[in-house]
Amino acid sequence: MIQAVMVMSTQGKPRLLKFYSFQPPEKHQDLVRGVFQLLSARPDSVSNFIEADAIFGPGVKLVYKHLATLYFVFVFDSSENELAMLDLVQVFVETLDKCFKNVCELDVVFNFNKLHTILDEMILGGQVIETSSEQIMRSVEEIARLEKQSNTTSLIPKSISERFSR
Amino acid sequence: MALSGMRGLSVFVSDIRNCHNKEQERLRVDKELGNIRTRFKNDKVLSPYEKKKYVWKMLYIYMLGYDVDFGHMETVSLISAPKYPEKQVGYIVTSCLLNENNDFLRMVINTVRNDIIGRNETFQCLALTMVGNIGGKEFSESLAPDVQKLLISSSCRPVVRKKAALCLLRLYRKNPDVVNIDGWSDRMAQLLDERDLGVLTSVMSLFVSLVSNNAETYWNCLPKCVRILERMARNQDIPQEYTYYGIPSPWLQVKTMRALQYFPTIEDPGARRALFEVLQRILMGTDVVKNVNKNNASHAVLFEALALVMHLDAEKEMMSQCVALLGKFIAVREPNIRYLGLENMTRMLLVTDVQDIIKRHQAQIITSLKDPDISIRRRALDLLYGMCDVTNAKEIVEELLQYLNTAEFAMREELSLKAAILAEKFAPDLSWYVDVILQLIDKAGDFVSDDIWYRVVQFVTNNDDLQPYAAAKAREYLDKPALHETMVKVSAYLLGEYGHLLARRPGCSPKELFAIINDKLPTVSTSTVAILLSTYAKILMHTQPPDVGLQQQILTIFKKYESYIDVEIQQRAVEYFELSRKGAALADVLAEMPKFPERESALLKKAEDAEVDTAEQSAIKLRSQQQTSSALVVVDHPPVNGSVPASNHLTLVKMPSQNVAEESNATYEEPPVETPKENGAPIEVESKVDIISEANIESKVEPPTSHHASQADLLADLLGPLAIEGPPAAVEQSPVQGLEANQSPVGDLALATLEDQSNSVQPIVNVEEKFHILCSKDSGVLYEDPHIQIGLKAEWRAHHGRLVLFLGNKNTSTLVSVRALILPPSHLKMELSSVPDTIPPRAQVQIPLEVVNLRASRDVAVLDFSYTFGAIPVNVKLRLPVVLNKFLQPITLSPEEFFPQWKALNVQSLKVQEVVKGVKPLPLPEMASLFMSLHLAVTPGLDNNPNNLVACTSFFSETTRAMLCLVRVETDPQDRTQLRLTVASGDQHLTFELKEFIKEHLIDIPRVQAVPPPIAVQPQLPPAAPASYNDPGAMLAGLL
Repeated sequence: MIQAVMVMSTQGKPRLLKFYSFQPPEKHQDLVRGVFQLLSARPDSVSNFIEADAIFGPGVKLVYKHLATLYFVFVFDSSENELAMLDLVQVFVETLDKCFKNVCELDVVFNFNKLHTILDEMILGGQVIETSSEQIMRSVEEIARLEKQSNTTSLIPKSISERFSR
Repeated sequence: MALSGMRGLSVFVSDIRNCHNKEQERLRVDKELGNIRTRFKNDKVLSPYEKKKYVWKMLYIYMLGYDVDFGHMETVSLISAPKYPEKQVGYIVTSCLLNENNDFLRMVINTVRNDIIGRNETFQCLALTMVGNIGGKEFSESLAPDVQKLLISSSCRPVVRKKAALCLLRLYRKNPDVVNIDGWSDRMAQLLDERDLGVLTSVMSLFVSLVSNNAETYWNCLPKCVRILERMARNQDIPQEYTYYGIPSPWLQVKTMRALQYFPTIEDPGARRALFEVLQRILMGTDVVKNVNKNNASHAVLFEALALVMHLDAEKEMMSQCVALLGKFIAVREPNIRYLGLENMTRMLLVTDVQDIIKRHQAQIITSLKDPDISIRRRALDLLYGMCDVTNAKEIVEELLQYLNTAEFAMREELSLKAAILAEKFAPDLSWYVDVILQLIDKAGDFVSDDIWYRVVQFVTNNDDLQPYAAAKAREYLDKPALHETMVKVSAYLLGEYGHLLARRPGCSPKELFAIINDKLPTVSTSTVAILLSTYAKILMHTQPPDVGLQQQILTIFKKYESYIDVEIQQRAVEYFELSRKGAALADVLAEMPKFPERESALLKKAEDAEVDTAEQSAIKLRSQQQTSSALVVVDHPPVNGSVPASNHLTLVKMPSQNVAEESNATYEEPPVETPKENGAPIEVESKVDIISEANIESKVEPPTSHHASQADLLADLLGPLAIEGPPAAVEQSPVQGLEANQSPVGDLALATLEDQSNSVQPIVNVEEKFHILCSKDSGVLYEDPHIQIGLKAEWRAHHGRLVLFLGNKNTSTLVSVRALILPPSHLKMELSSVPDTIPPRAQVQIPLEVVNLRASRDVAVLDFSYTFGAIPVNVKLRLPVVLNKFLQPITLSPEEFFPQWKALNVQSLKVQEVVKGVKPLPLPEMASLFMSLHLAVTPGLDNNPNNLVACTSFFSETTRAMLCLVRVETDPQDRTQLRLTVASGDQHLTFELKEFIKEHLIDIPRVQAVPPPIAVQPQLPPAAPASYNDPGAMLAGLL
């Protein structure tokens, strides 16, 4: 089972946290810090797997991808196949890419709510629910359509969110 | 991207980003939280949009690590909003913020249910997602049937059904009863026919979870899984969107193969063949390509296929192919593949017959120990540890020692523990073992636990020829300028005990030894000071003729430490000071430490425990459990080292093992207070027994034993912690004996007691059952009635046994006329110590019983026990669990050893064959574990026919000494009730008895065990009584 999905910046700032096995809230930041310490100590061109027993308990591993200024981390137990998890990270990233047209950290920062929506279409209760990024996109677009229909929201294009960048 | 944004939210996120430090951020967050709180208070003015915006802000703040302790109700209430956007936010944020026990969830349970059973598909999806993410007992109880309905409904769209499948999985985890309905396995089979791959992937996840808990129920689904794999392998009917970098849904393939690993085996030949075809195709058809993502995907499938092949115990050819592939992987550039190659090779060690092929890759694996990636280094370490055996131990351990110099702190502890364990397990000679441990302490003293140095001391103490060597080594280390404190301890200890053996060497006179050890005294901690003081006392004792100068120096130190802050040290100082003025008596009191009793290594035990902890859960773990239980591959010792027979473990003691005085002496040293008390009293009292019986050698034990505290003295340094680490009743479980669990060696229905009809007191335990338990265990209750409990504890060594009977008076009044007699069969020499006539209230007495096995026999010894309580006489006759298998010790033979023996025994009456009918129909693995329980080591690979079993064991008796016994069972798969049994040994009597013994356990009809009649036997029956009296069968015949 997938125990958690984390997206964090290369500065160690959490950008998205989702736990599928309950973790007390006061522990969240310790987990983020622990994972970040592991990640930041790793050079490039090493494997994408880290044993995370010390942080999450026995048998738990994490797989990560380091893209530009972000780490995408999936935490999972021994019932999952390591490379399949890595593929899933890739699907997540590809889907974000399709959503945001070349996703960058700012997209993730300002649209963390959308990330939750996308993630919910991909993982449910710690199990992968959809692996086709086309299917995920279709569901997300459907949600967007429903949101628009209800007329209670204003639409802010990406260009505006960029204004807030430093 | 068309998802809508929210201006207020973006502004807030942007503000947070603009904060220059944590303090600013906190201020901004506090301001926002205050704002939200006020807004929520007068929520009449809040528009749904605003509500939504604040809830997202809360989630953002929560993610940053701030406590959000309000607004939960507002969040939850959004779930009940009529419109989609609010509802969606409500569901998502609720599942992030609240856990399953949150009371607010109860408020919305009805809304959630309405959304699930309602017609609105998008609402259904939201509700299923939240329930699936949160789980929870209450959700499980109230929603499971509805979720189930959605999953199997034909009218639902795939998007809903796949969510229902995973939601149900989560609810199942909380409450397994949700699928506890008639015909669910058929439903499951239908679901696996699903064409939509999205739904099928989810269904497969559900299936994996179900089957991991209960494979039996889902046999009918197995062919479906194979069919799914075939469909994927042939790329039939796979929509483009489920093809990931050209691979038909790797996730589904992986999950399906994972599911298959939960089935113990695949028997249906058709399914097996089809599956192997698919697996073969995957193994052969996967190439390393340039595209990283494609590589990952194809190898995800490949590695799962490898795991499945291992699980299915494929033909050797296919296994070798797998090892070859793995060998290729551990050398590729792609680090992920290297990592997984090492990991899977470690799993591969569980498979029989491939260890040798794996060893060919040893050099490459050692290279991986220097990989820049710590993940890979860890894998390499695990693999080296697992593949180590006597043939390569030297090389591997030396590599590990070398690696210790450069290893990061994170790995050192594990590394040194592993090196120590391997050195102990596979040492080609003991001096090498001592070298390794001393090097370990030298290089990584901080990471060397006390167990490790206690263990080396035990070895040195028990092996005389090792002592000068170890002492010399210790002396060498003391010359080093900077020494770890553990090294000071072990060196001082060894030199105190054995320094005198070096006396003629340069730099090793007592004076010099003292000087160099005393250099360390000012800088060491209290626990080391204690050892140094003992060492000084020993040096003093060994200095012959006495050296007045040295004596003065040492006495001054003792004097000084009499006022040391630690009371333990004070006591030592005082005692040693007094002792050292006693002249000749000193030599007696401070004589060399006696040999340690053999006991299971605390280290090895630790290692096994650790392996259990870190073992792969899931399929691999399950599989190793199956293997252990069928005892075909892994026997008794940790799975990774499955190929190594237990006899390869170093054994502590080389001395003649029957040296009872020494043994009990050693037992005595175990401070009773620290002995593990699994079954309380018996163990504790046993120590007392030893104290009494061995009081005459008290003077040999040091230090002075005048009062209890001194026991925790020097001896406790070494023995106390070991005794704690040791297994319960450590003394009786030495690896050499390997006597462990076994089943009842005597017929099931045997009469355990022959109650006198007049007995008005009835046992309150099932005496027969207790007997059977004791046949397989070495301590426990033999008999119990309202007045007395008889416990028993046994140790076995070769053909000797030492039993202790514990007679416990449960009453508040005295039991009188207590009599215990042994009626030994002719093949056992038994000596029972004298039994007191009375047992005081609430007291327990212990009666040691020595047993010597003269030859093989299935006859059983009987204890005739009587006492009087009040005016009621009670007499019981109890069989004693001194049965044939107690004198067997399983051994594993290689084909090269086995076949010559087997042929050599081709002599009539030494090798006996019999067709046995009416056998309990047992599956082969169960028969194998039955054999294991009888201490017959089933050795796979010796007989090519899979329907046959071959087992080896050593039998010990006074006439035969250690004698090899070989057993072969040929079963008929068509008729499990008959088999052909061949037994061979170097003694025809033994062959016959062993054959009958095995038969008794195979045959279905319970054997009625003859029990001696209650004839009058004189107390202290001589051990070699006439056969007619000793043979229970003859006795019974006489009675009838």
